[in-house]
Order: sequence, then structure tokens, then C-alpha cells
Amino acid sequence: MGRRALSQKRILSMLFASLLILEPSMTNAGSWSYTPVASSGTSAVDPATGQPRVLYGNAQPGVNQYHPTIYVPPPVTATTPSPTPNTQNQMMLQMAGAMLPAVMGMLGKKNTPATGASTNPITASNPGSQTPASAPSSPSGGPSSSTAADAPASSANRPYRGTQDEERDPGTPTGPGQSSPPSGDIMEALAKTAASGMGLNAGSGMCYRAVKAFIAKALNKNEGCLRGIITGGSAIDAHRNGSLKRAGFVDDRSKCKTQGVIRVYSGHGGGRNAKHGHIEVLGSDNKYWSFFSDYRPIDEYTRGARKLEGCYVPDPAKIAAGPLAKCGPFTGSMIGGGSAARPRAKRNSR
Amino acid sequence: MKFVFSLLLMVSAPAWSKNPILQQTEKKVSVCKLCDRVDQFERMADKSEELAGSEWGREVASYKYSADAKVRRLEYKKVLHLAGRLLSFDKSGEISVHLPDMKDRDAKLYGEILREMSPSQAKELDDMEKKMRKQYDGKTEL
Repeated sequence: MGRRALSQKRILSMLFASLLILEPSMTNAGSWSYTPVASSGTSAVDPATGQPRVLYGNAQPGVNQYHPTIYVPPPVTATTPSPTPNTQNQMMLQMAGAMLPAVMGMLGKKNTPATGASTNPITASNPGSQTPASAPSSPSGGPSSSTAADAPASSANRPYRGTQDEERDPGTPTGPGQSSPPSGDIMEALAKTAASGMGLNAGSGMCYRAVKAFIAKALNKNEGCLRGIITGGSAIDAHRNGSLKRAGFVDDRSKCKTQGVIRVYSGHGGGRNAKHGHIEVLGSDNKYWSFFSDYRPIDEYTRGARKLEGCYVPDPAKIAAGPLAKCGPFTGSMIGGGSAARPRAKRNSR
Repeated sequence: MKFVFSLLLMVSAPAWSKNPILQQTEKKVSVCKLCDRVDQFERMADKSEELAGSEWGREVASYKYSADAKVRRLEYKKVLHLAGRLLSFDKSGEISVHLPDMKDRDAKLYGEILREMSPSQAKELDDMEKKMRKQYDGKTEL
């Protein structure tokens, strides 16, 4: 009994001692914080694929994600190689070769324009057109009848520099008498014009001005004349005043996600932006374009601070029969320059 | 034995109460919730100002300021300092156009906070506020 009592005492004393040892570590264990990290919203593992989002070393998902030190040869792709010094030299040589006739022309004939325009088969037929080298620096430059079909989709992030920078499509009809919409779908032309980055020059907050420029260029209409028909200072006027309907556009909610659609928003919650609303065009690059661009429409972008009011698509028959038919051809955009550099808009040429 | 057990209970009780698993974490009640939100964007801006400018622009239009003057001062201070930092990264123009709205809400406080800021940042904000006011309140075609 004495031994058993002794062993019990020993066990209890050990337990007591262990508690005394453990206690400080337990009390100093700290607590967890449940404060969310600033809108990061990402977890280490993608719930859709079950694959880790961040891998270490040279780890690749599904290849060596658990053994990142194993060497994985780089994947061989058939993509176009980026310009190396050698290809750059070749490009330089090609450019020099292209410029050679113009230089020779300058040396041989003093009266020949130094722009090489006479040697260019595309611009030779149109004496009024100018090459980028000789074009004036004004954003609304000389006469130009370029259309949205000219605008490459790859130049989406390149700021629009006016009509003189554009590469002219030999298939595009040119000439002062040309005022009909460009061949092909108007929506496609609108989407391409928007994606060309033209709106970036409109200035911060100038969404309506940018979209009017897109429409003018896509329809090949004089921008000043068009602004006399699609009236209003605020973007919401395009919907509330019926400006777009008057010009031949139709509100079709089934096409809100179609490229080339013009989306008009009202705003709520107070503030100036809410008062004026917003307008944007879904570009061919699937970005929503106005004076800026984003892959989300503005109602999603501003988390509900805007409300979609209308999705306008062009009706070619209505446009042809409407007031826009009387407008002359597109002669350059009025956005981009300052108010002093910008030519005075003719409010209505009718 | 009873003594030992009671002693054991007495010693273990505080440890149990401080158990991190069962511990009731007291939520720190913030005086200025908007300030906390702006602080999160400040931290985001430390990593990427471009991203923070874009993301902050998405929500700044919906900010509502406190009726309490002391809290509003804190809010204005935080918002205007971050606005000064991210103004050039605001692609959607939401931060820019929020400035005249802030000034309309409390012009005196707006001016005071601007005077506390660095002259260059204050000038940048002031110029932008004037530009946006003229643009949005005038007859400019937006």
C-alpha cells in the first residue's frame, strides 16, 4: 500500500509539474486573427483545378510541382520568335531598302516630294493623302477617309495618334465623295474602332466624346456633323434624350455582350459621375472602351455604382434613312488635341 | 488526494481560461471603418500603385463620409493622402471626379487637409479638383 501510495503521489506530482511547465506556453500561444487580407481574394490552391497557384523553383503544375528541383526542359513552341539582334538588323535593312527609292528620287529630281508618295502604289492614286512623315502634327490632320477596318486589333494599348498614323488599307474606298458606311458589319467596325485605342486621347471623364468619335469613324461620317445629331453633354443623354435612336440605333438588350454594342449607364449614389452616367463600346478585344478600357463593364467595374440603361446596336436601314445619311465622310477625329488645337465642330451640316 | 486534486484544478483553471482554442477573441472596434479600408489600399499601393489605383477607383465613388466631425477629419485625411498618391494611376477617372464631391461635402475640412499635405501633392489635387469641377459642371461635352 505504501508503495502504491508513493507511486500515485509521484504520478500526480509529475502531472502537476508538467502542467506548470505547459501553462506559460499555452497562455502565450497568442490568438488567431480573422481579419481578411486587403482584397487579395486568392487561395494557395485553385478550387477549380485543385492545383497549387504558386509553385516554387522551376515547378510546373502537373509536371514536377512536388519536386521543383528536378530540371524540366523549357517547352518547345511554334510561336513566332521575338526579334533578336539578327532579325532586328534584317528589319533595318528592309526598311532601308524601302526608303531607297525615295532617297534616290530626292537626289535625282528636286521637284519630287521627299515623302516617297509618288512611288507608293497605295497612296499614288490619292494625291491628297499624306504619309506619316509629311503629315502635319495636328491631330485632325489633312483629309483622310480611313475607316475602322484600318484599325488593327493588336494596337489596343497603343494610344491613338490621329488619322495620319494609320496604315491605309488598299481595299478601303477613298475619296471625298465616299460617305456610305464601310463594307461589312457596322458593329464589327465599331468594335474594331473602339479597340484601336482611339478613346484614350479623349481625356479623363470624356466617355461620350470618345464614343461619338468611335461611331463617326466606324460609320465613316464627319464627326462634327454626327455630334450635331447625337447630341447631349452627358453620356446618359444618349439614352434619355433618344440621341442614339434618332441616329438610327436600336436598344436591343439581347445584344449587350455582342462586340460593337454601345452600352449606356445611369448612375446612382450621388456624385458627379452618377449624375452624368457612362457610355462605352464593347471592342473587338473584348474590352469595354470609352476614354479608358477594362475587361469588365462599368457596372461591374464600379461594383454597382452604375446601372445599365440601354444596349444600342446600329440598324443599317435606319441609319441610311436617318439624318446621319446627310453627313459627309470622316475627315479625322476631334478627340486627342486640346480645345485650342481642336477644330471648331460644325454643329449640324444639314 | 483531495488537496492535490483541488490544487491541480486551481492551477489548471487559469490555463484553461487562456486556452487559445476556446478563447473568445475580442473584436477590436474601429472608430473609422473607412480609414481601415483606405489603409488596406495603402498597403496594396506599397506593392503595386497601378493596381491599387485601379482597384481603389472602383470603390471610391461609393464612399460615404461620417457625420461626426472628428471621424470625418480622419476619413478625409486618409482619403486625400491616398488620392494624392494614386491620382496618376486612376485610369477610370473615378478618384479625380470624387475630389469635387468631397469638397462640396466639407470645403473647410478639404482645404485644411490639403494645407497639411506636401505642396506638390496639394497642388496636384487642387488642380485636378478644379479641372473636374469645370468639366462636369460646365457645358463640356463629356
